[in-house]
Amino acid sequence: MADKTSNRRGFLKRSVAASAGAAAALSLEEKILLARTSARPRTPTPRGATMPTGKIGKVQITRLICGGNLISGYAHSRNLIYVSDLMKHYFTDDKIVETFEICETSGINTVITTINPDTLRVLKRHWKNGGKLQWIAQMHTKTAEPLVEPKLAVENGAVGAVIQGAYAERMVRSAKGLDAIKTIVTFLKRKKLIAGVGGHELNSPVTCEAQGVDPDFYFKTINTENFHCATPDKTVAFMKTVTKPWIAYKVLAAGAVNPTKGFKYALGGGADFMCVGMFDFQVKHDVQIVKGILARGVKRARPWRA
Amino acid sequence: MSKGALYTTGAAIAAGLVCACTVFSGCSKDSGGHEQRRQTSRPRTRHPGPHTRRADPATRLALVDLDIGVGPDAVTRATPGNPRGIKPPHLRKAGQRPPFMVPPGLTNLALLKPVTCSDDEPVAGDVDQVTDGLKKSGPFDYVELGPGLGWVQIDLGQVRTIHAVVIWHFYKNATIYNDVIVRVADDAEMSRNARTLFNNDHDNSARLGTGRNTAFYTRWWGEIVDARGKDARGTRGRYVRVYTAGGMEDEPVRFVEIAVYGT
Repeated sequence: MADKTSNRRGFLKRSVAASAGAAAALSLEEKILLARTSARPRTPTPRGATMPTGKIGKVQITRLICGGNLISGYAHSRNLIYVSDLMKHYFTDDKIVETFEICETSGINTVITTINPDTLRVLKRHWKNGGKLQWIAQMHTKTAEPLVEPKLAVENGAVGAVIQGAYAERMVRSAKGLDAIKTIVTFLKRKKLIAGVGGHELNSPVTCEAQGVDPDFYFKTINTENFHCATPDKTVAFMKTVTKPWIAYKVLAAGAVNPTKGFKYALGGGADFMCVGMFDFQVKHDVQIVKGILARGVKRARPWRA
Repeated sequence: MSKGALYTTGAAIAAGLVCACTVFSGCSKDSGGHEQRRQTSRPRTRHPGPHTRRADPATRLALVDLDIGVGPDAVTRATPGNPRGIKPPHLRKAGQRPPFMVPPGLTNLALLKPVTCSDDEPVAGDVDQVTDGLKKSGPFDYVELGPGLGWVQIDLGQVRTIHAVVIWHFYKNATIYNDVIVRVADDAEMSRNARTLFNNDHDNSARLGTGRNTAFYTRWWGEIVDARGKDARGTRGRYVRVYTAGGMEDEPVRFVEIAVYGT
């Protein structure tokens, strides 16, 4: 991902150092940008008051989790084909790190995002800066070689890993795939990571429960818009029978749902956590909404399972 | 270059400098939406103006300007201009209000309190948004009721002493809302000890009585309804109900936030 802001700052720094008079020729915006570049050593990110948490295994996780789709550029832009490009341009490394910091100071303590060089680069930079966000790796696992991504998750500091929805749905359709899922879950548990299985389709958790897969949590979509969740009522009804923790995603249907309504629906439906992709300017707003909903109390379809 | 062109260019440069100074030095108004006094080296006047702190005669505590939290991160700071349609005869002159002086230590009693409304199901949004503490005016930041006169009501949990009710209708569009009426009572049906704090229904179209308060433009700094009472001791009540009958140009009934300051 292009790090345009740093390149531009670096260029400006060098230019002005070369000629004191050059500063007068800069635009107002450039002067401000330059002023921000100078002389401020990185201090560890101060952590704000955390929001309510639950526990999966030994891992304490805030009810609201930072999602990774916007960061990876996968914006569910529907027929607005420019949006994914826009996301990739907006989410420079600096912007991603800034978003992580805002998440942390707002009280979020976990991010779920895929394993790829871009993600690892910014996560490591976040941690190097003193950031403490926990990472749950979202894996694109294959039946043939099930442990490739789990090993990467372990090696790169994840506290947990979850098989991405579409991949899990393919794997549960065959006996070999189910065996591979069991192998992944066993491996992760042995490595002291929490292990999750994803699904847009309800068939994924249904099959895992029926076949004794025994993950630490499920990662299942829920929203009112039929957006990668064709049967939300059935999802709620099924998850009522499940005692494992549930991290919900696609809760806001990629920006189509009012956050207050979306969060209430997910938490009321029985989700213990919500993974939500957020722009930097949305984080505090969404955190406040979730805190408010939890403070008022929400009538749930099933007890808290974490 | 002609004189006219020179003048135009000079004016444009001057406007740009003023604009840049305003943008980069922050809003010229403070977070309460009040004009900031220019700092001068002159000594204070002997006769304090209206902005100076006074003491509440009952408690001897110095009064303070009510802080309703309208910093740049809290609200959508855009002034959308004034609606071009018919303006009501009782419209207040546009502009920001003077400080609202109250005893210190007031809190927002309505924050996260239960809210009910006149509709079984709002057209958009969730009624809890009225007391979630969020005052931005974005596409998902309001609850919308059906057409006609509607209301939202906050239960403070017990009878409290109220000094101000602050209303943010949806303010991203240039709007003047009709028939804004604020009532306080001890019961949810507004039958016990019900009092009207504000009523700008100048023609009694809401059938709740003719009001003499002014109509106002909705803005990011909210509308403060005075509940201090004649003796400045506040108004006692448990339920606060705010009626609205839509905006001047078919704007639906939309509430962003209501805060109730008191003890």
